[in-house]
Amino acid sequence: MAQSATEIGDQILDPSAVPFAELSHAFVEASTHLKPEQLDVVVAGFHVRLRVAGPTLAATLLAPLAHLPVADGRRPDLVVDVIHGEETGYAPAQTAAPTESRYGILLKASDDGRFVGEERGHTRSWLDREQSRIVSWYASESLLNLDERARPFHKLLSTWLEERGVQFVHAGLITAENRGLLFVGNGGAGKSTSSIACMLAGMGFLGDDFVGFSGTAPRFRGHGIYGTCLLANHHIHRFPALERISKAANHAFEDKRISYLRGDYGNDLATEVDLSALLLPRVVDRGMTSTRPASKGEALMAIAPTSVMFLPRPSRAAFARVSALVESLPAFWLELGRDVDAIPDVVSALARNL
Amino acid sequence: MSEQRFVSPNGDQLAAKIMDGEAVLINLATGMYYSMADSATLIWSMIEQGCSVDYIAGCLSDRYDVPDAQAKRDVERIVRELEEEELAVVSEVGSNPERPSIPEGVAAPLEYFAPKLEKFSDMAEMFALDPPLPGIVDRN
Repeated sequence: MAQSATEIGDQILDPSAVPFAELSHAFVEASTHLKPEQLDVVVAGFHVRLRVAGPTLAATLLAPLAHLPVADGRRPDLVVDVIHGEETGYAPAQTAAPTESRYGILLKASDDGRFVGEERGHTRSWLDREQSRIVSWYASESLLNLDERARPFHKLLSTWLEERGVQFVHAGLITAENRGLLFVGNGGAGKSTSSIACMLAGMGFLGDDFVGFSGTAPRFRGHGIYGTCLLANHHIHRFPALERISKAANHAFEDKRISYLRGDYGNDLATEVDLSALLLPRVVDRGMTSTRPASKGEALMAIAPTSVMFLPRPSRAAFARVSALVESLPAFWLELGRDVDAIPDVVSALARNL
Repeated sequence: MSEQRFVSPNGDQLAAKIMDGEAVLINLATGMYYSMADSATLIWSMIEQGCSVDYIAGCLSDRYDVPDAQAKRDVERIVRELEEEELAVVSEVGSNPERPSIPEGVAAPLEYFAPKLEKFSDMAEMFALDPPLPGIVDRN
């Protein structure tokens, strides 16, 4: 059974208790003293305007989106306004002590469904679904978690985009031979390794972990959103080019490094592509990397649980969209041998034969 | 004569799909997910049609040529597991189809293997650290 409001406790609020108006007012106030940095970009076909009051935080939050196409002069579909506490002096009325031990994410909503919020010890972010506006406060740029640095606003952005037909999935996405290939699987399967190996070989890169798709069968469109990748500390040595530009996590419990990608590898940071196949990476104990057909059941197991449960609102509708994608596309196991360098050639050969 | 017991999916918190003979089920409230294959997929497809335990056991027995008593025991067991995982609910209200619909990919195998519900809990830790929004799970 779904939880009732009485069981939910502090996750469902009366709309009057939602701090959206307070944060919104604080952004206007802060902006009078400190001109916000502004970025207008196209995210999965929608014009998103981001304004960040605080240049240090702006540099961090806007970098993962800076590769996206610049939006034209039309009215933005979504506005994201952000206040950096450290640079503006603002702090919300009710602020818990920042946590150093774990993510401590709490998603909230107003009981009328209008507002959806994400709160951590060092941040408050609220989406007004009616006005298509997000307002956020971050205490300090130095407290951001890796997911906030690599995929800013991903929880609220995925909520907003899902209502507009763009489904986020936990997958890597590249282009090979002008075909969009999704790498799907649970953490550790090899999504990032495969996506990054292809990117470093000059293929188009749209994401290694978190991308969107839209459309209906038989045509699905993949959307790249974040120009970053996260690799485990013990794994990044495999990719010296990325290790050189990577940055460490802010917290000891985060065991990955973040790299901001700028198309420096002879490749494009592509943003859209028609999807042609699902690839299910998995590490095998042999030398050669190879592919073989996967069943649709295997593909659904690889993409659906991790994608649907990763969303702020796991739903049957999201599961149905992911299922439709799996039904429509051919799927292949990408069995990763010890020759990581061979991944791009194996993937290219598969793409040529689709 | 005892009342028939009908089994159906627990619609409130379940996402499920059969593809290529494999059933994939996700408990949206707990983050646990499951797979079923072969005879278990056949049972799940019967549950999706709201059939009774006896009817499902009969179909299993016919299709796999296993003794009625064994089929009944296996269906009872898997239904109990599905109930415990809050994936299915049992009630005394329902009806059996004249002819069951058998999903593509559930071909009659040469050999009968007892139905199995495979459970995966690797999303549970993430779910605990980063719980989803409660109470607004959609009803589509």
